Amino acid sequence: MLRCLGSKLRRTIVGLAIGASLALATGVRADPASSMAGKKVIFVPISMGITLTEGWARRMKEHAAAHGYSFEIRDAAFNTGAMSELLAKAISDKPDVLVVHNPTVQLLARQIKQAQAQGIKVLQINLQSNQPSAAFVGANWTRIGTEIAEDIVKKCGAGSGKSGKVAIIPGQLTAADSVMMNEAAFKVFKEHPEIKVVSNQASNWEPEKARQITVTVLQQNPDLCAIFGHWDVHTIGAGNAVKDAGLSGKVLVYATGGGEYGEACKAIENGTLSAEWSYDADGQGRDAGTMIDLLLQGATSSNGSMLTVESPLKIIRAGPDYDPSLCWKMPPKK
Amino acid sequence: MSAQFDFSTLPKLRVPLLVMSPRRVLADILSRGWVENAVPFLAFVCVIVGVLATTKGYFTLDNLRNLALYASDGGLVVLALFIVVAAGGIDLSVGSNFAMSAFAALYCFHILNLPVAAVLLASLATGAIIGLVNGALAGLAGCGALLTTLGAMITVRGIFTLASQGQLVAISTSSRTDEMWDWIGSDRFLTVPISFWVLVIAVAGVLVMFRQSRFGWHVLAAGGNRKAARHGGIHVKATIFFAYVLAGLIVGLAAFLYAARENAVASDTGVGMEFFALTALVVGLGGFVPGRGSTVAVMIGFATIYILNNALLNSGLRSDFVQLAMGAILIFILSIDTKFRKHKHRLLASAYVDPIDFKLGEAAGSRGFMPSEVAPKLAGAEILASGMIDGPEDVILDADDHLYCGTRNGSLVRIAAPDYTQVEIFAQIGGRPLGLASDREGNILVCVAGMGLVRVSKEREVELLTDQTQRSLLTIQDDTTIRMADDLDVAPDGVIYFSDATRRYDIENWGLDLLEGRPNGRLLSYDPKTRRTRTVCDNLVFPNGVCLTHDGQHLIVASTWTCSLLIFDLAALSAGPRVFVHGLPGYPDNVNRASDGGYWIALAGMRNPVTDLAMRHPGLRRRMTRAVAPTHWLFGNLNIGGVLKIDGAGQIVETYWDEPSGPLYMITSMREHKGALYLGGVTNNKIGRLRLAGADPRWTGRRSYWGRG
Repeated sequence: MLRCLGSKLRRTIVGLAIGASLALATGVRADPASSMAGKKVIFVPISMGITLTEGWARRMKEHAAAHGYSFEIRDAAFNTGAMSELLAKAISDKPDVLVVHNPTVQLLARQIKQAQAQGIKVLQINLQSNQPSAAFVGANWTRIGTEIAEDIVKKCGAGSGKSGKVAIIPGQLTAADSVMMNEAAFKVFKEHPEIKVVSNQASNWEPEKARQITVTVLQQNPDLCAIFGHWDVHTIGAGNAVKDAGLSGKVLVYATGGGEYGEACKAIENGTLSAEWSYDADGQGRDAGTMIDLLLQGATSSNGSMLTVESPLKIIRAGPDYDPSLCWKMPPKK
Repeated sequence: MSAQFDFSTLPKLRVPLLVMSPRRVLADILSRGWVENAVPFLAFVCVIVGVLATTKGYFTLDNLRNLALYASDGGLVVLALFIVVAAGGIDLSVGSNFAMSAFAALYCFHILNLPVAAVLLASLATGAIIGLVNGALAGLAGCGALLTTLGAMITVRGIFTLASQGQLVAISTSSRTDEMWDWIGSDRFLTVPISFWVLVIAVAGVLVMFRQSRFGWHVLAAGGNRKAARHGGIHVKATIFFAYVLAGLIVGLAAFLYAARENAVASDTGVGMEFFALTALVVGLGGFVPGRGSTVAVMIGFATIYILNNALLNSGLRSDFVQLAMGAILIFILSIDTKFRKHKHRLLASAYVDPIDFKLGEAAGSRGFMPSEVAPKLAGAEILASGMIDGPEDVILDADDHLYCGTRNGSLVRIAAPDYTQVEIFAQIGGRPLGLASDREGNILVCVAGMGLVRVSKEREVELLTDQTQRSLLTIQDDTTIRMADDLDVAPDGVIYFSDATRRYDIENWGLDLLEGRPNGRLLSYDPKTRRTRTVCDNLVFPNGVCLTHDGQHLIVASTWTCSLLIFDLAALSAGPRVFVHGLPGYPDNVNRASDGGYWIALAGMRNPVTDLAMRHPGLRRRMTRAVAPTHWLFGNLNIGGVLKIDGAGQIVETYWDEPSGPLYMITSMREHKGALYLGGVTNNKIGRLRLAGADPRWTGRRSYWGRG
């Protein structure tokens, strides 16, 4: 416990520095005439401290500062249990807009419904729930799943001379991305019986867990053709296992992610990842900020369904087609 | 017949209604059981105040409901771990068990479409089975609890991951809803979430279990000292086994509530839960303490941790910082608690003795009767049963002239008439038998320090008549238990009046009561007809000997440290006592009737000017008790024995002194019987008998009281 606290201490000091610098960065003057001024927005992410959520938060804060509404973050730190507690408290605080990052399609469904019933507009970001709400900003998972699966079929399927063995590493099996990407991918693989899914084990979004899973999979299947990691952060762990096994280039490592340079492009440059379908977290942050502005101004869809913004995709590939300009850069901490 | 007193002209004694001082309040609080939980409770209050001060709208009704809703499953898990720890084990598998049981519930609900009652059963069964395995290995087979449950934690987590992999998506995308399920998961009853009611009921159940039930006591005994529990005849292994099963069952219940509320499990469900629960337990109990059943304290610890964690999370701080802050605050709380527990006994010991300025009136009425002025008549006493008895505080004789006395090892012995050389144990009572009396039927009534009032029949049956009286108002210390029953007498209507000399000290420490000088004693009564015990008069200064007057209408009570005799009117007890005799030259102990209408008073010790002066200086006595060994304390002179005889009006008419060299020393009682005086002493190993010249040779106590025998 004490050893654990020591490392926590170090991380906390770094964390505090980050928090302080973020507070300083948002120095844009608000427009006092804005109808959004004084309203309240709460963001409940799965966890802060990752480029995805930090990237979104940065843009949303800019919008909040520009229009004079408050923007608060309640960090669940990868703890699904804590997350529904945090959301319950956030609903009690009666914000105007609640931004929710669903860890699973089911977990927060009841609370989203409850919030909507109380007149709180819920914006679901990137990972949606079973429960529809006012708006959704995020990637089209079915499309990504299909595209990656088709790419895998092309590289590993009939005529490629490869084994056709694929390992899927979801973050959380029941998270929206995994549910939809798996569904789409299996649909594609079904038409190509030469593709065999040898593993479909969740990494809990942890690189280390993904690495361990990959080590085991590679031991059992040294002729593995591709790894389909559902999120770049943990898939980098899988890529490292491939590297350690000396199989770089032989086993393709696919990932999806926010496309931040230090994460995605670096990993592709050093050969940890083979390709990333990026949904561009920076762009999503701006989309989310815009959506919040619209919701605060009373925007609704004409038929009461979810307002949806689908994030444009950028496919970053290793090799001759590699283009680092497809990545965005998190500004260095001041 | 000698002179008579007139009750109405005697001076009234003012008895204080309440004895209270800051030091006494502190000492009384420190000696209460619940003070053990003071620091966890204070920590809880501090957390509440801290959260109130630093947040806005945290304790709104809405958020309190949130807290209640989300706290309940965690609270149940803490409760489960608490039971196992109380039994001397530990359960690291609670988190895995929780996840597995929640998965079982969701699987049964969403995949098998079972009714909610069956879902509950499945969840409970899963929890109980895991508890069963833990219990069988750790309890029955005697594998270490840590290793067993660590193994269970890993194994069950593995099974959970394997089992859930294939089903989680199906569960997450299931559309089944059920009114009952939603009601349990998110509805309220009397504005409070359902799950919180479940927690409240479970806590009440465990509280009652540990306080009242045989199983609960066995669990605590097994946890407190396994070996002693086994020697006490407890099935230790089975007890521990069932503790694990019960814990598993409670975890299953918690998981059911969680499943109904969240409608989902994730791969991280229950991860780290065992450490959260352990932390709550450690904060509540002030350490990892097996064998302690303070359910409320554990729940306070849980509430502290839970609210602290929740408030920190909600404050929007980074999660790393939340954990750091939690850790720091917990270490702070625990270090204070540990220090407090460590030093509590010393603080109590130094605060307990609380002397006051105690003014003793001048000695009066004894001029011409002092040892320097009369011959030591007791030097001529015969010695009976020398070396065969130990500590006859009081002596009494029956109709056949057999002599009875209590002894230090808790027995009532009979010394057979007529030669008084045969000593036999008449009845084994226990405690420290002190004052004796005989009732109309010839049973012997005994005041037993540490026990209460006991009746020994002629058939030698021992019956505890009473060991409790009503609790006095406005005291912190629970004083219902009779601590030092000292002497007694029986009124014509059969009511037994007896003194409880001090509520604050045990028999070994009666000397400290003198040094304190406060009115710590009380006069009690017991009515054999109604079997009720009453407090007749509270707050008396060391009430000791009790004697019914010859007319049967008044009661004399010796107040030892004030060197006086008080007198009550039995027809008007609530009017309080009057002072019958004051200014005695020594400390009066037992008082008994004399054949000529007067009374005998045993003097346990002699006053001296130094002690009288020291009694005026409370600070001096306090320092003395703390800094000086007891053998060197300033104290009354206990080395010389004496008996006073007063007439019916309270005038000293005769004195009987011992030689400084004995043989009787400290005399605590005397009985006149057929022309002789039988003398007992609480520290003596013999009984003295003195022939009384001119006394009625047919007079006995029994005949004086009951007219026969």
